[in-house]
Amino acid sequence: MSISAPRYAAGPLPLVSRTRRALAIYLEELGRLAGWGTWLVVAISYAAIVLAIVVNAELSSLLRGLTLSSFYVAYAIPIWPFLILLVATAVGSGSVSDDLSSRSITLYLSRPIRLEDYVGAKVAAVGTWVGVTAIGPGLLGVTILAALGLAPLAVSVSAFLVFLALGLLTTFFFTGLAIGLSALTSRALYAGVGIFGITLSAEIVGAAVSGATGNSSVLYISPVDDIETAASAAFQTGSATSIDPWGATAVLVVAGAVLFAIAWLRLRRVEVVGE
Amino acid sequence: MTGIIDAEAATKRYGEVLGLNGFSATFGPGITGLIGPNGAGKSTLFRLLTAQLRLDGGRLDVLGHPAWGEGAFRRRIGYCPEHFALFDWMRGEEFVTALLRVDGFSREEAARRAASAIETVGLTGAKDRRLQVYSRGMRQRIKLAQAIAHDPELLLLDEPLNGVDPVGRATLLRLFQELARSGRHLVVSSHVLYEVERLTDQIVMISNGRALAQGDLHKIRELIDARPHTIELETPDPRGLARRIASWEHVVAIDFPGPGRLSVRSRTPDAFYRALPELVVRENISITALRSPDDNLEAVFRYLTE
Repeated sequence: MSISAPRYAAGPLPLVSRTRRALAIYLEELGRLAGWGTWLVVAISYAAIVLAIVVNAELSSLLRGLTLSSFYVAYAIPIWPFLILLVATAVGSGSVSDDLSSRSITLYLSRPIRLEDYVGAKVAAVGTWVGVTAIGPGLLGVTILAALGLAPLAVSVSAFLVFLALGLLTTFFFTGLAIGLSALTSRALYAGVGIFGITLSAEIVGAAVSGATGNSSVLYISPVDDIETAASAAFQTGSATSIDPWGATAVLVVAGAVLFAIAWLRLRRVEVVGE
Repeated sequence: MTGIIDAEAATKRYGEVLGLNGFSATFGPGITGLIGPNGAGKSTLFRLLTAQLRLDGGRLDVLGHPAWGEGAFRRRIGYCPEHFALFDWMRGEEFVTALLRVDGFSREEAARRAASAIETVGLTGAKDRRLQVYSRGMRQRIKLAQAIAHDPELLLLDEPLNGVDPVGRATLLRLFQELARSGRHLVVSSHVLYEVERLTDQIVMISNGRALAQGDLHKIRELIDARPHTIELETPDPRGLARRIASWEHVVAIDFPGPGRLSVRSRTPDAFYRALPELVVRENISITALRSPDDNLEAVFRYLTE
């Protein structure tokens, strides 16, 4: 074979920044995940949580005065965590597994981006939807109360910050759960069943074993109980919790971090997919 | 570094399975055919070249850069994967535009280039349809569109004619040749050998993760001429003919595959083809047919893998 030095047809082309290239993946993913089911659950979350916060605040003002603990109502019944779980399942189950099953992940990874850009964009897209559901309703409820003059400013600010902190904690855990399980399988259905099933079965098993044995520490395995416990302490309800709030928070943080690590390690080995 | 792609003892393992096994080859400018059966390591090589896989050993350079490397040089490569699964929720034009955005083009530039690439592959009429309704041939062409849309210098095309109808094949082959004429370098993999034969003489043959041979087809033929070559003859008296040629030094085996048929394996086919006419004239032997099953690229490959 005669060999000669390559003569390139095109000169260097201006590249937009790496951040903007990762942003392109994020925006595509964000749009892809925006199915009508996702919108519906998000809308229900906003309607239910904002209504609960506003109505309870009004009642509290009339009965015993509005305090920070009044806002715990948003977490008092575990509807909100389950709505967040629904969104995490809907948007997260196929986020990576669809790319793995179709092998279209190769179309991204063959381009001038790094694996961390791809993973970051996926996490951000899922996290955005989970965050919109986990953070937004609480903040909106407090903002409405403050705007209407129904809550003192100091209480509103405190409640705002607590909702933000709890929302971030919840977003971190459920995004990790969704991304972690989605990266583990190339079937979105399996990932979805895993995300929903793990959370639901942990809740049921935790409650059953705790009730049967009287050992409340088993409740740590339930993310919903962990969130409620952390919320109860953060909103200063003063009521005794079955498990330690700091312990519950630590469980959510560590579990979320482990799930992110699982996703990262799995995707670092994505090279074997399809071979 | 002298080639567009330089591989030196490149090795890639999947657990205990070797995807590439000390693959060494240099891919020059223009079109190079990468030929090998399924599982030979063609896709592994492409995925190594596009930094989807990391080399376990050896060296693999592409456009003068280590294949497993960061940087803008990666945008000088266009990659058309073998698989047909795409982002099915997208429309054709969205698909190409989205990937151009990941390549680093502005929104406007990406849209302009996507439209142009889609036109080049003849899919303008279907650009607004969702990919999930695309046929295999259309998928192949939209994959090609995303590979060429950013005007890369090197195109890695993994089985690009798979699933394309005959008219589409002819169109794509012309397109590949036009791209090469305009200064692009193409590596086209295939296990359908006549397709590559129509496209280029420059080939790299791969099997079991190793480069069996590289160069132009004629040089590879010279290479295999050192190995036994099969010639099939049809004659009314195959055993009589066999008795006469058995003593020829370059004949290493004689077989009778059927009535009136003789199969001869010769170490030097040129010598055989020179001696046979002399024998036919001298002995007045009737030969009704003569063919070599080794005249096409498929046979070349078979020889090298034996």
